[in-house]
Amino acid sequence: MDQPQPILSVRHLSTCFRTDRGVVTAVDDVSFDLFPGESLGIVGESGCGKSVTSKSIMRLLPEHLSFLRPESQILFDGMNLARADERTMREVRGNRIAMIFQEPMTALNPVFTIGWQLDEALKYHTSLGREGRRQRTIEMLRLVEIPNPEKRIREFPHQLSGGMRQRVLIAMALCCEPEILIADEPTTALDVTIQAQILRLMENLKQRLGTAIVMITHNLGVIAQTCDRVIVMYAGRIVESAPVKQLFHQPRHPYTKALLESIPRMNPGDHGQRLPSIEGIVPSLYDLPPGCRFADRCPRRQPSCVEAEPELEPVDSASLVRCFFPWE
Amino acid sequence: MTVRWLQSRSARKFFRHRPAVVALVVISLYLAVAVAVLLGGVTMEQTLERIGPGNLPGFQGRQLAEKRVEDCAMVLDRVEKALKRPSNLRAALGEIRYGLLRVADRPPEELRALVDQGWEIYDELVESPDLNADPSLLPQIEQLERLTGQLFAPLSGWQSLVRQFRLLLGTDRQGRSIMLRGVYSIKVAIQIGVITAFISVLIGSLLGASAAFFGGWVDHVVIWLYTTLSSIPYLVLLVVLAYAFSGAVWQFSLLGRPLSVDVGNTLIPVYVALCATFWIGPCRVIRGETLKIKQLEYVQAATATGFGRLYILVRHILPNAAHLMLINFSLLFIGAIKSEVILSFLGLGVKRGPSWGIMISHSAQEVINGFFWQIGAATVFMLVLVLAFNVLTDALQDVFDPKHL
Repeated sequence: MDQPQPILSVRHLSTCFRTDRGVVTAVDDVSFDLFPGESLGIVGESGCGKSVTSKSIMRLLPEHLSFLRPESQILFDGMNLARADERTMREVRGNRIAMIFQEPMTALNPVFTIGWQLDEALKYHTSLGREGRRQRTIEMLRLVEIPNPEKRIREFPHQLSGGMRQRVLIAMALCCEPEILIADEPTTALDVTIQAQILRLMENLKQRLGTAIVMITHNLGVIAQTCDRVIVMYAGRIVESAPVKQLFHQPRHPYTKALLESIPRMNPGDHGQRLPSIEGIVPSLYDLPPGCRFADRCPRRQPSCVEAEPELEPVDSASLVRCFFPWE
Repeated sequence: MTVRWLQSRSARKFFRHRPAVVALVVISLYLAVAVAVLLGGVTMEQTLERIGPGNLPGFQGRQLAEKRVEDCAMVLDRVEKALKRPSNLRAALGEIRYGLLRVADRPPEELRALVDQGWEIYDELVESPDLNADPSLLPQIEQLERLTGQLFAPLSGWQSLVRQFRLLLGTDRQGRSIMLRGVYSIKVAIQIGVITAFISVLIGSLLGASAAFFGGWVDHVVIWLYTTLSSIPYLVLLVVLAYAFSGAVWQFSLLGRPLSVDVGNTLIPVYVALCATFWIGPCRVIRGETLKIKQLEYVQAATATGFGRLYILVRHILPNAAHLMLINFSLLFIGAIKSEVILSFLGLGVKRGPSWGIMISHSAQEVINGFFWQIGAATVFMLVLVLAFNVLTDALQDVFDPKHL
């Protein structure tokens, strides 16, 4: 087989939370592969489990409130991160799998200069000397297109704009040259022009450094611009997985199709018209229906849909879909 | 770094705040005095030394005529008694000293003559029916005082200045300098304030931050500890701890040499008693702040960078609570000084040497007799320091508050 080896394989990942109302499964049997140099988008609406998926991979969820089901496997470089101990995780985090957070405003420590914060990560994960780390810090800031990095390293987070801070965070995430970068809604808190800059920057960096990216977002526009492959999640489950072009041109799952249709467009004829939206609400995770989780809101629903849940099955060579009656 | 801070916005804001600058100057003076005392500027022996008649008012104020005559009589009496022991006259005369004043190096006959003259005037004065109300007797009283003064060796210019300084605020009942006692107490107060506040903030921050950050049983233990301790009335706890330590002697060996520390006579009981109750305040505050901070994304980001939990607690969370530690430090500093005064007043605090509390407690008897110099001096010394600290803390809060212009 000349198929490349995946760098990260998630198998049957189920993340549960202990709550006052019992145990909730926020991510339910999620499996996917990430290949070197690839961008994988995870898209879905709020609460569908996309952030929990990323935090489960990094094992960032509070241990007294959550647990992974025993069948969960997160295979990375011969290790199963789902079972790894704290020491192994510390080696992996930041160094081999890095993460960018949604809020650039609060993701930097306000009492230290950005130079200090970049330096700290390098000190922890590399054996560079003081001057070497300084060089690297400046080099990274230049890479993320921050003007005047020699001066900027002495500044505090509050002296930078949101876009600048997100660039610093990207620099921090990439400074140890991780194999995987998980970006959890990296552009949500930024305004549109800055969003475009940041996305272009990430695209450039991916080309230059060969980092695999997991892009988590609810914004389909971001996915269309940056990703090679997309996973659509709904109520804790993957409902569709397809290459990005195919997903946008030929969505298979009714949810994906509805999602694409509800993107606001600027067509002259649409003026004054209501935006299309998906009727109904997401089922509560406490009280899931026995059949398809989207059945309630689905325009193609058949009586069989509410009786049993469909499996995630291949519909063609590249895509998987969880539906009894996918669009052709 | 320092230079940059002086040019910063908060520094300019601070220096615009006049009372704060004054307070800073006052506190610096106190600190300078404390350091000077620590380096031996004023020794404990000097504060215990008799420098003149008892209950002398400050600023060279005049006492009642009766008291002045009595003070002279006391000196005459002492010299006379010494003169009656010719075998070791030098030693006997040497024992008579008032601070820097020594008996003059004159032949015994001359001293005897001065004493006799003194007694003559004294006898006349005592016979008058109302010494205090009769102004015509004043010249005689002054003459008596001059005579007694001649018994002592004259002081050089510098020495007489020093003597005037020591007498500036008068003397207590035992004729000890109130000025020196007040100044020495600055060192005691600042020492107790700094050490207690530092240890309390340190313990409180570490316990509070660990409780919030690690949660679980750590949190339960810390909360149990501080709710239990804070349910005991604070003064009762102080009294119990101070009692428990009084008279205790610790014996241990250091580098093979046996050492015994007379704990009851050191300040250790005061430190233990104050720290045992004072750490609760910072602990509560820091625990709350840590609970807030640990939710923030930069803490998660630090975990995602691979840092260990203890490292994140110490390097990322505690620095973000530093402003609370600073404010708590200054609050506890004041609190410790005030509590030391109360403890010493109750006889449970400082055991050796003076402190403001001891001065106030000693002045109880004097106040009844209408002598307010000792209690006044101790109160003013303390008031100025506490007030300056409060003004400074207030100003610092304003300066560090970005919403306050």
